Amino acid sequence: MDLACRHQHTARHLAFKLCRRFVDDEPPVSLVESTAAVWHEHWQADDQIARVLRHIFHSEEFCSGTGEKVRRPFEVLTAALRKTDAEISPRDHFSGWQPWGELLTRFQQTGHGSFRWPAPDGYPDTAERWSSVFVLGQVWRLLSRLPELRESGSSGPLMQIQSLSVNNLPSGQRTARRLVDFWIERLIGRPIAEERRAELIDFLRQNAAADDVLDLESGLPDGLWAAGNLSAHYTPARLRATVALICTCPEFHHR
Amino acid sequence: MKRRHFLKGCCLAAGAGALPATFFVTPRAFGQTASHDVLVYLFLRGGIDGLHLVVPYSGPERVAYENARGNMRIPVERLRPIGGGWALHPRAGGGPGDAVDSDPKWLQRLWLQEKLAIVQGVGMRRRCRAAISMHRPWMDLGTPGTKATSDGWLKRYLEQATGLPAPLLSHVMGFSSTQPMSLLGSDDAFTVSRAEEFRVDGFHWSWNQSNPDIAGHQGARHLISPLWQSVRTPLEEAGGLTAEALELMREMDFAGYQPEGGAQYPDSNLGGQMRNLAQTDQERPRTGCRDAGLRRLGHSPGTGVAQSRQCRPLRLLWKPGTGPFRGHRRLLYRPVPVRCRKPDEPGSVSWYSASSGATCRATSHSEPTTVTATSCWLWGGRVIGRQFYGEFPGLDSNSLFEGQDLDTSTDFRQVLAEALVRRMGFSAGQLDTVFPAMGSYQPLGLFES
Repeated sequence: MDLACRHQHTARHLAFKLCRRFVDDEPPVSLVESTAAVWHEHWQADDQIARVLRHIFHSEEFCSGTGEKVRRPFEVLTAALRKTDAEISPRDHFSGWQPWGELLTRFQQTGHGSFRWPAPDGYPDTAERWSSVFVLGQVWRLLSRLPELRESGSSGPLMQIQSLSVNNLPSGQRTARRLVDFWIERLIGRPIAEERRAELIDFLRQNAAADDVLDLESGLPDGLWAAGNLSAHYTPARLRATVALICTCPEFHHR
Repeated sequence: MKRRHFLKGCCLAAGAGALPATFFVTPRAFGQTASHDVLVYLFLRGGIDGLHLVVPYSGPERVAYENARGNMRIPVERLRPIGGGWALHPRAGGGPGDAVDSDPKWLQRLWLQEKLAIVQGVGMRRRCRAAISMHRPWMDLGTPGTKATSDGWLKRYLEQATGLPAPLLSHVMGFSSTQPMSLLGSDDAFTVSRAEEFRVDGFHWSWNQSNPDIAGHQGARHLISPLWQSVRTPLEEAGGLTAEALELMREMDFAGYQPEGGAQYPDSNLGGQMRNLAQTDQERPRTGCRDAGLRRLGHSPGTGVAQSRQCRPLRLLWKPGTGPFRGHRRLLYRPVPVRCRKPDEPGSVSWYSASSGATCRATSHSEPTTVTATSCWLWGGRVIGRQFYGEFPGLDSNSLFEGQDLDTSTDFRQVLAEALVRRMGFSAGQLDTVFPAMGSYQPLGLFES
C-alpha cells in the first residue's frame, strides 16, 4: 500500500480525477501537476486530502471555472432538495414511504442510479455523458415530480416551496416577478438569461400583471380552482411548477 | 417536429463537436434509415431452464437425461417431438389444456415453418459458480470473466459500424428501467422503461397538462422548449434537441398503435416493452433507431425473491419457497417474442437464449442455478430454420461440467457475431473490437446469404 500511495502515477491519477471533478472536464495540465505535487508531498499526512482540495479550491482555474461543469443527475437532485429545505429520511426499500419508490425509480431512469455502474472506475464525470437527450429528458421528468412528492400521511410536499416563499417575502411582495427572482437567486445564485426569466414570470403570473400580488395561502397545499381567473388557479401548485421549471433551466444544470 | 429546428439542430451538432452527434438528421435521411436492419437484443434475466425447453426425446441422451434429472424429467408422452431425438416442452407448442399432438402453436409452429433455429450448448466458456448477477454483466458487456469493462458490446458495435444513417432520435434504444449493460458507455443511447414515460409529466395535475376547457390554460411542460431555445453552450444545444425529442415522442400514438400481423402483446411490463419496440421499429423512418436492447429484471433462480416490482409477470410464475425449476411450465406460458413478432418480417432478427442455463442434478432445488450452457433460439429474416446447430455437449456424467451442469460447446458471442456479420453487414475482421478475446470467428451458417 505504501508503494502505491507514494507512487507518482497514483498522485497524478487522483489529482486528475479531482481536478476533473471540481474544475473542468479537461483540467489544465499545470493544475493537475501542481495538485499531484501536493498530493505526493503530503502522502503520509493525516490531512492529505484536505491539503489537496485546498490547493484546488484556491487555484485560479477553480475560481474562474465556476459554471463550466455540468451537474450529474444526482447533483441536480440533491441541489434541488437542499435549496428547497426538503427533509428526506430514506427508509429501507420502498415500504412505509410511498414517494421514496417514485423518487428512486425516476432517479434511476436518469442513468445515474446508485451502485449501477458495474466497472470500478465510477460513472463518467464529463458533460458529454450527461448531456444526451435521454439523460436530460429523464432528469426533467424527475424534476417535474420532485415538488409534488410528499410523505405518506402528510399534507405538505417535501420541498418547502410555499413556506420558504411566504417566510422570505412579505405578503405585499409576493408578485410573480419577485417570486421568480427569489427562487432564481435561491436555486442558482446568479441571474439567468433574461428571456428565460420572462417566460417563467409569464407562467407564474398568468393573466395578472407581473407585479400583482399572488395569493399563496388559500386552499393549501395546492390552492383553489379558479378557471375564470388563471392567476388565482391553483397558485401554490403553479408556484411549485415554476420552481421545478427553474430547476430545468440550463443555469441550474451547470455548477 | 419542427423541421426548421430539426435542420438547425443537425447543423449545430455537426459543428459543435462536443455533443453526441447522432440525435437528429435531415428529413431526407429518413428514407435511408427505413432500409436498414434492426437488431433486437432481449436479455431475459432468470429465464427458462434450457433442458426443459429443448428436451432429449430418444436415444442415449434421453437415457442420460432421465438419469440426471430424476423426478424433474418431463415424460416423453408429454413432450412435442421435433425430430433428431429432441422435443419441445408441451407449452412451447400449445396452450393450457392442449394435447401434445394438437396443432402446434408459437415456437413449435415457427420451427415447423422453418423460421426458427436452435443452437445447442450455447454459453460462456469462462464460468463460475456465482449467481446470475455475476453472469449478466459478463454477457451484456461481452467480456466473460470480467465485469470491469466500461462499455457494453452493443455500444462497441455501434462505435465501429460504418454506413449508419444519421438517426433522428438515436441509433439505439434500450427498454429498461436503467440503461442496459449492453449499452453501457453509450452517450446517446435512448433508454426508457416504457416509451410512454419519456415525457415531463410530474407537475401537479392542475398545471401538468393543458386543459382545453379553460381558456388560455397551458400545462407547465410547454415551457420546457422556450426555456431551452437559446443556444450558447453545448449543454443548451443538447437541451434544445431534448425538448424537441420530447415533443416527438408525444406525437407517437402509443395507445392507438395497431400491431402488424395481428400480433398480441401480453398485458405486462415486458409485453409493453415489446409493443414499444415493435412500434419504434415501425416508426424507424422517424426515429432512426437501428438497435434495440431490452433487459428484463426477472427472478433470481433459487432465491425465491423477486428483484423488483418490474418483474411482476415473472414473480407471479415463481412462487417464493419453491425450487428453481418448479413453475417452468408456467413460465413458458409467455413465449413473448414469438407471439408478438413477425418472424418473417424483412429486416428483423431476434435472438433469444434461456439465460438460466441448465443444471442437471435432480436434487438442486435449494441451490442457485449457474449459468453454463443452454439452447439458443434464433428466428427472423434469413434464419435457416428447423435445424439444430452447434454440438450438444452431452448429459452423461463425463460430459457434464463439474458432473452436474450442461457444458458449453458454442461461445454465445459467436452467435451474436454471426448476426452482426451476416445480418448487419459488420466486418468480421473487426469483431475483436466488439468481442475482445473471443478468439477466431467461427460462423455456424445460421443465415441465408
